[in-house]
Parts: sequence; structure tokens; C-alpha cells
Amino acid sequence: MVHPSDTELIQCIAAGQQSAMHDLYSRYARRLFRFAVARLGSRSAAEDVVQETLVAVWQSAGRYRGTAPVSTWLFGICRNKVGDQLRRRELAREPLQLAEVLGSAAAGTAALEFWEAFGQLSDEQQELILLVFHHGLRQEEVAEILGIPLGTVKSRTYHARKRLQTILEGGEADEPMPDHA
Amino acid sequence: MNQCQTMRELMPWVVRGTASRPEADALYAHTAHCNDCRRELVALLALEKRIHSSLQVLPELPQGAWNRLAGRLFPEPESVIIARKLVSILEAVGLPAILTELIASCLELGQRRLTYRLNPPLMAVFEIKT
Repeated sequence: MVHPSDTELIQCIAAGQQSAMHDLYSRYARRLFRFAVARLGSRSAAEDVVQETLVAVWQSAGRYRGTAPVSTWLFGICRNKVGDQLRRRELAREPLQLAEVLGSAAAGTAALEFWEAFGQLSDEQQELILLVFHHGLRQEEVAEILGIPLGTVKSRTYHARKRLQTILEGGEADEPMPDHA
Repeated sequence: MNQCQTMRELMPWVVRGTASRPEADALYAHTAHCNDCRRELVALLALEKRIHSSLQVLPELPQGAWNRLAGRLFPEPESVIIARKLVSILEAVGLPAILTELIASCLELGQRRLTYRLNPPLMAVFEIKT
């Protein structure tokens, strides 16, 4: 296979082909890492999440049924691993390390303001902003990853970005919408 | 739900180019005559640009991440671990550097095939299993 599809890669991984795992890593690790680091604010925690996601893929590739795109499946696993990390962090009461991750000198004021505003969003609102605006996933993919209906994806994305806009414009941020995921 | 709200909820996917063609056409047709939604679309384009530029400052995946993952996914077989020890022994007993370099290169280039590169008598001496 010169340029196997994502699904073909998963089939090769299920058959134990290590080079296929490397190909999948090359395609997705960077995207998964950026999703995780934006949510966790820690390089090392984000790398752990990427590792755990891909270990899960290596172990369970044979169970992938192809009903959703591979990218959706990967982001779904990654999202769950991020959730696990956040729960562990809550137990350990570790502070977010976003400032350290961004590096204040390189980031610039506008970016730091953005990340402060982003941090005031609920977990699900952060996920929606990242999946829709950064990763450019379609409505159906976001619905699959978050496990919510299509109409709900649209309305919650609307509220997420309105809230982000309000905070960035210096308005009073309402309480975040409760997470339902 | 009124048409304006329906259109506003579609906007993120139209802006990112991930909406269907009919959805995008419907939004553009609507904003051609709805000033409020046109303003909303302009504001969303600015937000999208800000999100994009803010995400640029995020760090990249650290160097060596694949090696760390590969070490976890594909632990080295015992034969390779033994072969690594062999290289250090050969160095210690003063085997010509060029030979130890050669073996070390084999280790680097094809860890899992190393046992096939050593000749069978040598493998037997050091009890390397294939």
C-alpha cells in the first residue's frame, strides 16, 4: 500500500504491524497532542494522554468497526483520556500550568488573554471550541465524539463561542453551561 | 427556532469550510438580506482568526515522543537486550573499534533484525535466540 487509508492502517495495526502504528502516529499524534495540551495546560500530561490514546488503539484496533471515521474514534479516545487526567488532577489538586506551557515571552498578550478566557469555559465548551474551530471537525463527528445529538452540538457550540466572545470583549462572563457529556 | 438562530448555529462550520454546500449556500443567501446575521458572521470570522492565532503558540509534541511510545508499545525482545550487553563486553575486551561500531550500528538500524545479522555460531556462543 503506497498511501493506505486510515481504515487500512487500523486493519494493519490490528494485525500487529508496527510500521502502521508509526504511520498512524505521524498522521495524528500532533493533532491529539494539541487538543490535549490545550485542555490540560501541561506538556507532560498531554504527552501521557497521547501515549495512552495510542496504546489503547494498539490494543483495541481489532475492535474498530469503521462506523465512524478513524479521526473521530481517535479523538473520542483522547477526549476520555483527557477526562481521566483531569479527574486525577482534581484529586491531586494540581494547578494548571498553562503559563508555563505557553511561555509568556513568545505567546503575546492577545494569546494570553485568549487562553485566560478559554480557561473560564466549561470542559465541554472548551472541547467544542477546539474540535470545531481548531480541528475543523464536521457536526456529525463532534456529535459522535461528545456523544450528544447533532442539534445539541450546534446549540452548545453557539453558546460556547458567544461566551468566549463575551469574555474576550471584557463582558461579564455568565456561569458556564453545565456539562452534560 | 427562527431562521436567524438556525443560521447563527451553522456559522462555525461554514467559516471553517466543513458545512455542506446547501448549508453554506443557505447562510450566504440569508446574510445577503439580514444585517444582524451579517454582523454576527463578521464577528465570528474575527473570533475564528483569534482562535487560530492563539493556538499557534501551543507547544509541539516533544522530541523523542515516538521513541517513548514505541518503547511502551514494542518492548525489546530479550535477544536484543542480550546483544546490547554483547557490544559492551566486546568493547571492554578491546575488540577492534571498527567491529564494535559495526555491531552497534546494526543495533541502531535494525534492532529487531540484529539476531539475523550475526552468524549462527556467534549466536550460539552467546545463546541469542531468534
